[in-house]
Amino acid sequence: MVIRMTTWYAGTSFLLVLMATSVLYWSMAANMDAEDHRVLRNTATNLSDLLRLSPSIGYAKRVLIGPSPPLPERQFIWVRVLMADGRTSIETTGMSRRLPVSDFPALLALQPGQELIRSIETRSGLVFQTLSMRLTDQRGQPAVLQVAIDRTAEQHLLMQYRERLMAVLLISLAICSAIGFLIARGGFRPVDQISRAARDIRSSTLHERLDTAGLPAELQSLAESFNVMLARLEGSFQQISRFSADVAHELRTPINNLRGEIEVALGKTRSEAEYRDVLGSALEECARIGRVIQSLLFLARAEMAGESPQLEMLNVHAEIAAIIEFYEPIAVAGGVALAAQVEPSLLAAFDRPLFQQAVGNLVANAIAHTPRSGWILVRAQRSESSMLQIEVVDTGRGIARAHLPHVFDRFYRADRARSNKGSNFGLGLSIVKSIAVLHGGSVSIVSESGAGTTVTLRTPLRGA
Amino acid sequence: MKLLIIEDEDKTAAFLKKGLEESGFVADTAEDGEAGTHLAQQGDYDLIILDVMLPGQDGWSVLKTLRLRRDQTPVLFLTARDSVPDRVHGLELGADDYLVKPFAFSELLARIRTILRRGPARQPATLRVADLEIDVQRHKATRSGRQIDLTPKEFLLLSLLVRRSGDVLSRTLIAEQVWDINFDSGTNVVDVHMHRLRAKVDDPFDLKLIHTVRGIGYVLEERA
Repeated sequence: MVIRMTTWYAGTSFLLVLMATSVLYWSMAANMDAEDHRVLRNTATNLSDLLRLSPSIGYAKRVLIGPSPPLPERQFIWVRVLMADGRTSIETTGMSRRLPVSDFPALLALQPGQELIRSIETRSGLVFQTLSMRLTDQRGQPAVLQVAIDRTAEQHLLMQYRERLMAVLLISLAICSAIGFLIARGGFRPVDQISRAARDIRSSTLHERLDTAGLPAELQSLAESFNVMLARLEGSFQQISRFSADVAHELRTPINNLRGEIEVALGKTRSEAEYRDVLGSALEECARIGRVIQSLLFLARAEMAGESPQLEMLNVHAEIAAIIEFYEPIAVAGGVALAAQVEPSLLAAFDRPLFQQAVGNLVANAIAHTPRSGWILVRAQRSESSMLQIEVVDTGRGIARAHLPHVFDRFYRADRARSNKGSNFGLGLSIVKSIAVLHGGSVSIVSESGAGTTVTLRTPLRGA
Repeated sequence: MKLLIIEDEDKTAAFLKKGLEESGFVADTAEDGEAGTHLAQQGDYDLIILDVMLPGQDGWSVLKTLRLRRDQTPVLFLTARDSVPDRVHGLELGADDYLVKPFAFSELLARIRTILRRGPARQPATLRVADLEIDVQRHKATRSGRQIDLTPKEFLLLSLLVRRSGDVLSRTLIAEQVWDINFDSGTNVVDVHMHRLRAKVDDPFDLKLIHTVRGIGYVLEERA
């Protein structure tokens, strides 16, 4: 990642510097060109006028070339006048050596008003720009004027400039890469730290957290999220080990009962009826333990992602009526009225046995917690147009506020004294919650000590 | 009737054999898949009880082999895994029923009897045990000529007991058959229903027909 960032950074800055220097270079070169062009043209125009108006050839020579032959090396502007027959009339000294007429075959073919502009590099490495045009000489005869400017020094300057720019580009590329690398590496150091810290975490060190102090703001939120995840993981691990301890503890009691019962029975010879009785009781205890194991297996499986219920379209009214009919005798035995209030024609997608178990568990709980002359109502209706809402309301003992957040925990029993009276070992509500969650829904509870309880189960209706 | 038990757990195989023999069946056992398949081929069994978790050749392959050989012997498989895919898999392979461990022996017996009984279900119009008479069509029950007043569900419960007279029926089975309740609801509920039924069917009469078998369930039969 560091390499990638450095490459991008170096590449981008290189491109920028390249663009900037190119622009500067080309604008300078263009300026020079334009200037040269202007000089050339102005000179040509002036000289053509002077030539035309010159009274004699001598005069013309003087004004076009200058009074005395100057030093050819310092000559900047070179002038030549060709006559119609091709002979040179006027020429700056040394021009024929540098810019021989033979190099310009097209000159004599020039038409009036036509111009010929050329850039030349001579064999000796000199650079000229020439402008040639048709005109009338001092005698009124057709002639060709050629003006050339020496651009050698200028071109040399440009070349030097180019070379220096190259050097600047390469150096800046190197520096940018180096700096970029250092910046990127420095920037990634905290990320590195986080990775290292993450790698070191294992189940025994889940209590550790990443140090967020001194981290740049962007990484701070990453580190904080990481810490939140660690906290959740720690919580889950603790929950699991607590659960394992709970299971062991909870099953220990009935198994001890079994052992004790059987041990005592075997302590001396007994009648057949007594043995039968002990065996029967032992069997009952085994069945209970078996049920707890089934429940736990169900809870464990329901927690695994990908576990999907076998949905059927259920007639909610009919299903609840059947469940009420089933539980009615114990309600009556407990002196409690049990009734249902279901929205008519309510259809919901649900796993049928699980539906029975969820509602059954809630009804059984309600019956167990409601004293004589109380009542229990099972209410089912459509909620928010797409949810099935089932409420089990009772006028029972209620649950103290302190216990409410925990009632759906496994093995949790609000009233410790009642512990093993229920057949569910405190798993009933956990199972209801699991069933709700399995169907993509939720369960909630409202209760007050002495003022009854309402448990609400909400799941998606799923296209009734 | 001859049964084959393919189960690697010694104690399980032992109590299954004992229990089934005492229930009137002849039972052979095999410890693993190969022995089981071998025995199944040779002998002519009425039903095979197959444990899915076997060493070597597992239960599924035994079942597959049997069915590939066009052996249509009914198979009831025992599994410790109650996941839906496992259940479906077994039934797809050609099993007739399954039980999840740990299971109640009475449950196993009931299911075995159901499988073996399958065929044209001829229900006699009247069922009779001692002085108790049930008119299945008219939903009437009488004892010693006296009519017993029953709710529809109570009648269903009584007919179940009478139809399966002599078989100890577990509470789970009763809940399933009478109320279509398909989860393990705990002991209490069915007990209270039975209590009510007894009040109507047994209490007014000298001869008690409904008996509780501790730890297993209920049975209706004439006992001296």
